[in-house]
Amino acid sequence: MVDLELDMRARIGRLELAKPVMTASGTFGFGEEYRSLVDLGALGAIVTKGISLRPRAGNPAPRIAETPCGMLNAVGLENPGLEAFLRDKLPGLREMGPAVVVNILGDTLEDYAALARALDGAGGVDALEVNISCPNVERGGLAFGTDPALAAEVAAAVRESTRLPVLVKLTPDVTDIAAVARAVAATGVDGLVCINTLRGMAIDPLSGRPRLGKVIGGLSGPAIRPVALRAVFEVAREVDTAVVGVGGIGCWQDAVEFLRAGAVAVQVGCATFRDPSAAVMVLRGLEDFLKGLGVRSCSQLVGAVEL
Amino acid sequence: MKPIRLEAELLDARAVARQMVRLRLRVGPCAIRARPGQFVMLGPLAEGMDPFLNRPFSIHRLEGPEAWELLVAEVGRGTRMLARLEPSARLPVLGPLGSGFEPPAEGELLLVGGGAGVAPLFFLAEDQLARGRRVRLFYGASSADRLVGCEALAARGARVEICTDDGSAGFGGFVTARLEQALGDGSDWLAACGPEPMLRAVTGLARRFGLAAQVSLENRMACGTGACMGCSLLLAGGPRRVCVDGPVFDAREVF
Ligand SMILES: Cc1cc2nc3c(=O)[nH]c(=O)nc-3n(C[C@H](O)[C@H](O)[C@H](O)COP(=O)(O)OP(=O)(O)OC[C@H]3O[C@@H](n4cnc5c(N)ncnc54)[C@H](O)[C@@H]3O)c2cc1C
Ligand SMILES: Cc1cc2nc3c(=O)[nH]c(=O)nc-3n(C[C@H](O)[C@H](O)[C@H](O)COP(=O)(O)O)c2cc1C
Ligand code: FES
Repeated sequence: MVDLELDMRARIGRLELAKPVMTASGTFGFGEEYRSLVDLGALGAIVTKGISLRPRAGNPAPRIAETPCGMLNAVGLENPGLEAFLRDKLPGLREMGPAVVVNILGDTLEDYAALARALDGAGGVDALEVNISCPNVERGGLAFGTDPALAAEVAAAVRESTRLPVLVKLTPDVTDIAAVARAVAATGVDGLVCINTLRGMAIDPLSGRPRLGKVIGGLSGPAIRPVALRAVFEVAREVDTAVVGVGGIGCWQDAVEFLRAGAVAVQVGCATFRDPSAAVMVLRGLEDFLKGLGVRSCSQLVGAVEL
Repeated sequence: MKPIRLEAELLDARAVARQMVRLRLRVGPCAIRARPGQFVMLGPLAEGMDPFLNRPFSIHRLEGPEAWELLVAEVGRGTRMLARLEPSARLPVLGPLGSGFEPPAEGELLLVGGGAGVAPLFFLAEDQLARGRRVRLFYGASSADRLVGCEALAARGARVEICTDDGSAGFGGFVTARLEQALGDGSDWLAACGPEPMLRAVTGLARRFGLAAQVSLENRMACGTGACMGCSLLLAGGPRRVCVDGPVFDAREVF
């Protein structure tokens, strides 16, 4: 009998993943936090917490607020900075098995380029994910992501500073995400990641105080899944560049929705806070579902939506 | 020990004071590996996506070789759901998490607890009493009907000093007022857990009387494992995650 092994590989431009499921930036630390809890080796990639050139302390507490079917966060990119990342975190990440995708964030174009250059030479990094969509920092982040021309400038700057595959993470907080996607895709990056959190806030009705120290934060979880799915659908229809779906994915059915909308791979974010194994469970469920369907490869499902 | 995630069986959920329930969870042989001061993340609390986040609770007591007790104050939606659980319910637990208390090797141990903050101090007290240490607990509550477990702890040999805001039991007034009267009699270490104003006042007293102090802090949490940076506090020495760098901190680091 021929072995009809299911092909789960996902191709995101020059980045090839053994499995189409990754952890989302900021929700899985540097992998080490989950080493004793999760079958890390099963995952396609681990995407790190956002790394900046210099260490960042982040925002004042509270940084977390629970909301209906989701949460707000205003962490503010607390991270150890590039140097400490390379020294203390990257060696461990390399050993874990999954591809290593480093999420980067800068205040300026030059910051992004410098991060890309340094990580290019580091060894053991498989791709960069460029965060131009963080709602929780004063400069950089979202400011770049909401303007197609600026977004493309950042993408080009990173692209020219590294040989590594480059993914660009987009914000849903724009009128026309397809326009941003078109501009970024034209720079020749390998993938577009849709979406980062949506800007949101919550107020304690009794005290009158905002529930986040920073007042406004980013909304994530199942509450944003329809928005993320729509973004993936609009972007995948618009560009030839590979699209990665993220936003409220917590089970394999959610992942199937995103693949059908046009994503070639997915990321699992804050579902991990409810169950550390969420990403692995998504992957296993997806595999079983595809086997049941009788398809040969995961990629056959990509864009398979009946309109 | 490294944290593990398991489905705990609820052996017992009992109202032990006004709007306070004690949950007894069978977690298996890992129970005895927990250290006083450590906590667990409980949840998901319901099927479906609401409430979305799991909830942190200190380990209140070890109960036999395979169970943990949690002391839960009903303050909101999640804790009310926990209070209504029926025995034999299954509850996902992640733990034990965080750092523990580090009492010195000698001398009387002073513990200061306010409200549900007394929870981890019972574990600490019983652990230290079993090692033959002298333990004195200053226990503050709003009123007598909010106090839990005082007789049982006293029966194990602890000196329990009850303080109530309304004077309905023990010393009438804040626990810090009673503590202030008692300090200066030779103890040189204290541990405190409770509302932030209490911890601040206790730290001030410890400083004044030259005691080393450890405080157990709370903050909003998402992961409980150090991954999300959601529970970090901006302390003088830099950002520190309550869930892995704490929840027990040297008081001088915090206040
Ligand atoms: C390390 C640690 C140990 C704790 N130990 C205990 C304990 O032993 N006994 C006990 O009764 N309580 C303890 N708490 C507080 C307990 O976690 C909250 O009271 C509980 O999460 C409230 O949930 P809720 O759904 O009822 O309230 P809601 O107000 O509906 O909760 C909404 C959100 O706010 C969070 N939240 C609300 N109050 C607190 C708080 N004080 N600290 C942290 N997060 C909060 C919830 O987790 C949830 O994400 C501890 C907290 C921490 C951080
Ligand atoms: C606590 C937290 C921290 C995050 N940090 C980052 C980050 O550093 N960089 C980034 O690009 N996205 C970050 N994100 C966004 C997630 O990667 C993801 O895009 C978003 O949460 C939506 O997915 P989810 O609903 O599955 O969580 C963070 C999200 C959360 C909840
Ligand atoms: S709760 Fe996530 S880092 Fe502490």
